[in-house]
This record gives sequence, C-alpha cells and structure tokens, in this order.
Amino acid sequence: MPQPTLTQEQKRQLLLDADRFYWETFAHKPLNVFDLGQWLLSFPGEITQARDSQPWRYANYKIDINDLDTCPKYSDSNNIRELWNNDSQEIMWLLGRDSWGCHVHADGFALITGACRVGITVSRFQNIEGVSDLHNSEQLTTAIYSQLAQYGKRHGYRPILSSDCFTKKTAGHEWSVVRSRSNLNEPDYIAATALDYRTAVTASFAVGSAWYEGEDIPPEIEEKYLASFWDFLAQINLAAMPAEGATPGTIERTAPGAATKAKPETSGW
Amino acid sequence: MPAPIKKAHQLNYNRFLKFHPNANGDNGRPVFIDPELIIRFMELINVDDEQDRNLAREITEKLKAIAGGATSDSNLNNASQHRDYFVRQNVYVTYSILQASPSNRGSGVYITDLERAVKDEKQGGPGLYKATFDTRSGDDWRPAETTNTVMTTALGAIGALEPTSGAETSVRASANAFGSYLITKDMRRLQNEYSLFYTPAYVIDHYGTWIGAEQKTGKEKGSPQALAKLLQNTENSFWAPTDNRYCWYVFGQGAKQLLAALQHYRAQQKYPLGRHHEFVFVDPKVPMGELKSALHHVGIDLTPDMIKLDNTSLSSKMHVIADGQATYQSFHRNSRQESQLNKAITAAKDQYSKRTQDVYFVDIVKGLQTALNGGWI
Repeated sequence: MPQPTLTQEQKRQLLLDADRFYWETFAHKPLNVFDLGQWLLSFPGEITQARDSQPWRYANYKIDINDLDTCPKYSDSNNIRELWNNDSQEIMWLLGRDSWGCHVHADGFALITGACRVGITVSRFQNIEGVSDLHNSEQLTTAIYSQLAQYGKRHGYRPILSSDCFTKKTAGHEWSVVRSRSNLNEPDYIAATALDYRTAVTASFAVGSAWYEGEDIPPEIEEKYLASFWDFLAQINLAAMPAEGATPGTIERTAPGAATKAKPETSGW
Repeated sequence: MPAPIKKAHQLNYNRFLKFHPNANGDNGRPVFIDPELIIRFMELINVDDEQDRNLAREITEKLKAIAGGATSDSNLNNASQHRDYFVRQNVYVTYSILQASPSNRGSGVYITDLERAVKDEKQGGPGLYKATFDTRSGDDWRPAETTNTVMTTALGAIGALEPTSGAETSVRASANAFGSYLITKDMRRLQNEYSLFYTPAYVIDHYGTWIGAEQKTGKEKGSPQALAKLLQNTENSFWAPTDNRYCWYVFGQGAKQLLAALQHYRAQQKYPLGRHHEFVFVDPKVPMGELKSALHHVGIDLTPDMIKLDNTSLSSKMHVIADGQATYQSFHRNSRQESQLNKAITAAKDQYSKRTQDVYFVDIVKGLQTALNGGWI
C-alpha cells in the first residue's frame, strides 16, 4: 500500500477544505467532580495521571474558595518556589489539565493536526484596578485580560486587542473570553465564568502546532480548533448547592452496555 | 491499495469474522471484522514491534467495552457508525455497532475500516528550546526557540513526551513534564529555566510519515549532529579552566539520540566531554553496555547514581525517539517485502475462506505472519 505522502500544500488544502475538525467525545471521558464549598464543579478529562506526578501543585478534590489554606502555595515539595502571595493578582487552585488532538479524514487515512491543551482552575482575582465584582462581565474580562497580557508580555506574545475580548455562551454559562497569540504563534485563550465577586472558574486553551511556521493561522482554521474548546466548555457543569450524595473525585465513565471483566484475559495475541 | 470502503449499510456483515478470542461475546460485546481488511491490518502493524502487536489487544479491550463511547467520533449521518483512534499505532478504526438482524452475525461491534493516521508537522518541531518557569493554568514551563550555540542554563533535558491517548506530543507538553520532574529532583540548579533539546518521533508506522530521514541528514535542528555541535561548542567556549558544569537529564529514549550524538562528538572533538558536562539518565531505553562505552570514549564513567529509574507516570510516557538509521532501514525492508506480502495474503485468504466462519481474524493474521516470516529473513 503506498504511503500517503502529502505535500505541505496538500495538507494545507485538506485542513482548509474540511467542514470541521474532529476530536474526542468529551462526554465519555472521566468526569472530575470538585467540591468547592458552595459549589459543585464537574468537567470531563483525563486529569488523574498528571495529578499523580505533581501532587504538590494540584488542588484537592475538595477545596473551599474562601479558605486560601486549601490552595497549594508552592510548586515544589520543599516549599521554595512560591506560587502566590497576598500581593498576587490571581491565586489559582489548579484542578486539572488535559489535551486532545484534532483530525480530518481523507481517502484512507486521517490527518492529525494540532495539540490542544486545556487547564482548569478556580481563581481568586485581587489587587486588579477596576475589578471589584466579577459578576460584572466587563470586570471579569478585565481580570483575565490583565493576567494574560502580563504573561504574554513576559513571553513575547502579541499585544491583545479589544477585539480579542468577547463573551461566549455555552450550556447555561456565560464565559468571558480573551484570546492571544503565543511566541510560537499558537492560539492561546482564557475563558472565565464567575462564582462570586472575587472568584471564577477559568479554562485556558492553547493549540500547539496549529498552523505552518512563519504564517498567520487563517481565521477559519482557528475557528475549527476553537470549536473543540467550546465543546469542552459546554461540558463544564456548575451546581450551586452540592447535590445530595455527590462524591468528589474522578469517575470513570463507559457507554451503556459496558462489560465488567469476568475473568483475567491473556494479553496480546 | 484495497478497494474503496463501502458505505456501512452496503456491507454484508454476515461474512465478517470474529476478531479475537477475548472478544467473542462471553463478556462485553463481540467484535467482528471485515476479512477484506486483512491486508491493511498487516500493513499497519509490524509484528516485530511490541507496541504494534498490542493493537490487537487494545482494539479488543476498547471496542468490546466502550465502543461508541470514550474517544470515538460519531458519524453524523449514521448513528451506528463510530471511529476510534489508537494513538500508539497511529491507526483509526471505524466500526458500526449493530443490533442482531438477518444481515449480520448478531449484536456486536463490526469493524469496517482501518486507516493510518498522518501527522501534520508544523511549527514547534525538534530543536533546542529554553524553557522558563512561569505559572499559568495551562502550563508551567514556557519553551522558546533559541539559536544559542552554547548552553546557557545549568540544566538541560533531552527527549520528548509520548503522545497521550487523545493528543499528539508537543514541545510545550514536553517542557511541562520535564520541568516538573526537574523541580522535584534538582531544584537547586534549576533556578527558573532549563534547556530542552526536543527530539520527538512522529509516526512510527512503517508506511506513514516518519521524521528519521530528515534528522538523518543532520540539517535538522533536532538531529544528533546538532546535539553534538551544542556539546562541542559548550566545551570549546571555555578559554581558561573553569568549574562551570552542565547537567543534561536524558529522558527515556532520548538516550538513543545522545548515543548518536556522542559518536559525532568523539569523532570531532579533542576535549573530553566530562570536563564540563554530566548526565543523568531517567529510564534510559538503550543498552547499558553501549551507553557505558560511548560515555567512556568521551571521558565520562557511567556510574549507577547517574541512572534514575522512575516509576511515575512520566516514565511510561516516554516516547520512542526516531533512531534515524533504524527507522530508515526497517522502512526499506518493509517496502521491499510488499509485493511478496500481497501474494502470500491472497493465497492465504483463499485458503481460509474455505474454512469455518468461527476462525478468528487474529489467528489468520498470526498464521500468515509466521508463514511469511520464514520467507522474509
């Protein structure tokens, strides 16, 4: 069988011509449930493996957004590298990270494109001028804009324009979104929705290897990647009162008809 | 090239074969496969490769339990049709979940197509990066490409993270993973930055896209030659005796890349590498004897404390680094065998089609491969 050797031009055309990109079905990824005190937050994603390897960085499944003692303060096990202090503008409970790839299907093969990454936090915003109530979507935008802009400035991002700030409604939540472009020319987004006057759930989204070196990513391509992010955001669920009997943790999910293993199986062939 | 795949509803599912003894319906759904896919299946997997061999097991376990769920895409035009991506082998599997009917062999999962995945390489490719610590919700370590010809940080990392079930590897994901490792193991020297020599392998499917050829030329930024050059320039940059030391953490199969680089270094360099360099190997995936001898030739003794075995998730994610030469050779060996393979398969298929339908697909493949191996080597 001849290998599908595609020129860059052919690949480019495949990506441009595709109606949409495809990605994993989030609804069937493990569901991660976090007890935030007054809120129950859940989102899909394979976050457990990364948590195991960095236990000092991630928040627990049960935190209290009004108690900073529940927020990891150091990035290392020896308590040297401080992640935040009282002067910080954003204090993050990092809940989890996940990644996925997009792909398009062509004749007899599938072309993989992009390395999408998300990170989910609960963040307290403070010490930011003009931000006193995150329920006000303009203030929420200001809060995440200021954080992304500062970060971008340190790392050679392009300046963020006012047209890069917008809102997106998914599954009952309204998200304030700020978009940026990284030093490696990758799309880089932050979306946030408020929990209370100073606390918000944020989701950051970045696409590695999104488009060809030295070229701007065409807006329609960026939209196709972004569709997977909107899909992910729509799976984030917030309940005001912890539901009866809900247990924080990661729940593995399988489709109806899933089997339980009856006996040990021989592996491989 | 196999005939174009028919639409799901045009297929005759009665002629499908059971895929694997572990998916015969005793627990979970039975999994069936189109016998026409034998050729493609054999082309997509390399029996000499354990990861490839595992495809049969992975397909079995994934499809019989969670077909239609998990990572599958659903066909918008046909609710019963799904696709799953097996990232290690870079194979897409398309299948239908059917209820029992006269036109099939009972309720179960029917594999109707196998496709290979082609990775589209864009930016953020192999080469030298400087990773800086800066926390953001998505990342902790920010890699930036650098054109430095000498080491500018005390610590370095060589390797790449393996793709996860859903996503390809990327320089940023690797920078994060290695950075978190270094934070726990070598905080004192880490400061806020380290150098990352990023050397991913892309598709290790013998007919798919593969990056070995370019790395082989030595022009590529991520090649062993480039790494050797970096080591060499760093050693040469000291005019007077100094106690500056650089430590490279070599992750998983990154050791292969280093081995190749050491050979170049040895051929071109007058100073021993050990003057200013040291190495730590995290789960090295190369023969220790070879590594010891290569290091010895550049003036470094391999001692047990230079080797760290790490059973955290990080080590299991280490990617197979494309060893340019090995990949290149196996690629050619395979294409030469291609016509021979086709002939043998056609003959074997005739033979097997006369047998009962209860023969398992993997048994046919296994039988074929045993028969073919005899003639190949």
